[in-house]
Amino acid sequence: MSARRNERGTTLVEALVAMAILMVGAVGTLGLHYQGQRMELEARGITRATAIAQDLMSQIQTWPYADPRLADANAANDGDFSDNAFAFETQTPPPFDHAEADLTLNGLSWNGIQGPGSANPVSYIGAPCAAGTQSCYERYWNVSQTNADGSLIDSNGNGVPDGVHIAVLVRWQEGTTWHRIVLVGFMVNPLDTL
Amino acid sequence: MMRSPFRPARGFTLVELLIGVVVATLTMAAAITLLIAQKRAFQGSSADRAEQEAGRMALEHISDNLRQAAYGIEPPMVFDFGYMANVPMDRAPAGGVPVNFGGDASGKSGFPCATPVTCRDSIVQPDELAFQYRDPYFNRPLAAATPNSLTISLLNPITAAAQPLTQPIPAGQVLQVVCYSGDMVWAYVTVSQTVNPAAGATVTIPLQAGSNLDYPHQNQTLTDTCFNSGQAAVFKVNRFHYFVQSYDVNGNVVPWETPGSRPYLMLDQGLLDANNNAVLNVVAPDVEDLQVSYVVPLAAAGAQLLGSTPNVQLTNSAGGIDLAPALGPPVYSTPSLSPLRATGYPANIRAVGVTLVVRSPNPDPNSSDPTVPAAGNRPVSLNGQPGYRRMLFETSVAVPNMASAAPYFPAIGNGADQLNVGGG
Repeated sequence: MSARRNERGTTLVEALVAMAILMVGAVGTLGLHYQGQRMELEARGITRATAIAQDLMSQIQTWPYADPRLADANAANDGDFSDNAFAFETQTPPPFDHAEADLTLNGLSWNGIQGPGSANPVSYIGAPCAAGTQSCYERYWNVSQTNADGSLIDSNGNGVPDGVHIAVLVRWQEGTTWHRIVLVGFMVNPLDTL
Repeated sequence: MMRSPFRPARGFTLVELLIGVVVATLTMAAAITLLIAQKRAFQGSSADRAEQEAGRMALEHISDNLRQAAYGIEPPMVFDFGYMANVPMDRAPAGGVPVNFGGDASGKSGFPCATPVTCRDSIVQPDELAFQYRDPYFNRPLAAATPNSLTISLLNPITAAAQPLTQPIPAGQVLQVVCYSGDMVWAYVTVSQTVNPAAGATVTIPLQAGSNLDYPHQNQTLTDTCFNSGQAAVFKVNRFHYFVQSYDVNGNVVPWETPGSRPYLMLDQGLLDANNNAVLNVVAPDVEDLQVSYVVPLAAAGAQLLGSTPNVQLTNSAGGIDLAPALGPPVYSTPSLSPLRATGYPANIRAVGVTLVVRSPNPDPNSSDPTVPAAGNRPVSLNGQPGYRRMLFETSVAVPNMASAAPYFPAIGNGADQLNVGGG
């Protein structure tokens, strides 16, 4: 009798327990996929936001220096025009100089990626994006004629600014968190004689 | 009651068996569902990854090169919209020499173009983008011999400290030959046969024959004594022709959106292989559409985007790219606010808008959506191959070198550093 008992197979309960453990493990790897997909979504967000920021920066380079869209509309952010304080990730609305509506300021033509209100808007540009909307990008740009210490950008000391710092900021939401891309550029003042 | 010694371990009852089968079925069903979900998640993410990678690769390739467009080249000859006559070259000492750009009658130069301007733009299928710039990493002194019209020679090695030619110069390569003595004169010529690196004091480069009036076959200009002065250098001109091409499973080129075909973003640099066939490179797979638009300053409206209005083809007139503006083309010395700079002439392009539609490598069997999203001046298309995920990438690239107000040539040196940037 006892000699036979050693040869018996697994019981149903044992098999079920084993399967349950396997399932938990398998569900765990599924979670890994979702994690991977979330990261891909984030990577896509960065790629797209960079393209949007690059687009705006390239268009700004075609604007004349005296363009009203390059006015320093918000002097409060001049010391931190490229947003090292992460205000664009925490504040709604963020402290900007210019936003979407200013792209066509004074009836000027906007030749970059078309946003809401244009004849052929691109679906992923918002102005602004409703809270919690995914795959929606807001674009802003800051202009500053001063250095970080608040002094005028004027290396030759003639009292005329050498040019302006420009920061293009594009922000978007992942879940409920804002992310942002910052591109920084400089435009030379053609009226400043060196 | 004692168990009979003849009865072995008892079997299952029917009820036990049924319960076992039901439980096993449920478990298997759950496991299979899980497996399918896993597979779908994997396929979805690998399709997303592939799309993103192709899109990023294509976008970066185009914008990296576009940003350098016009470096060292006369602005009217940077963007190729097909044959354009009387392109001004501010070439001293004659000055204002007009040449023909973008392909001549024999089709020896330029990229294929059936009808100027419209060959680069379509409202029903992908656009093309063609431009050029001087290679910043190639600078070789011309040997101090008078070049005849069919060959030129480079010093090799340039100096004791420098390396001899290390890379072949392929057939079809356009060279810019510049002489520095007295008034600067320069000419564009085309290599007719691949030149391989070899030992020796000089390297001889055979040139395609051509007329002085046709870019890039200005061999006659090389007879100017200035090129015999020992003060001359040779630069490479890199040409780029981006276009979308679909291939079937056998590798044959087929029309756009042919069922079963796969689209690629291709690059033709105007170079030829040993059999004189064009060398084509794949930039990225699964790029379904490339749409291009051009920012041109216009006096009244500030700036205008050409090639972006849906259903409106880019035309060869004042309403689009204008290869022969009534006011005449601008030259280097034309002031930046002159009305000549406010036309649709290719020299006035200041930024280029690029839109790409990238699709997944394989169709999703659960989808039959044939929609290709609108891009540039091509409206939404329902004639795409069904089931693919599609993503739109869009940006613009400024081309600051197009605003050059003078030809730029680096100081003549011994060429030891091989560079031609940084000036002197």
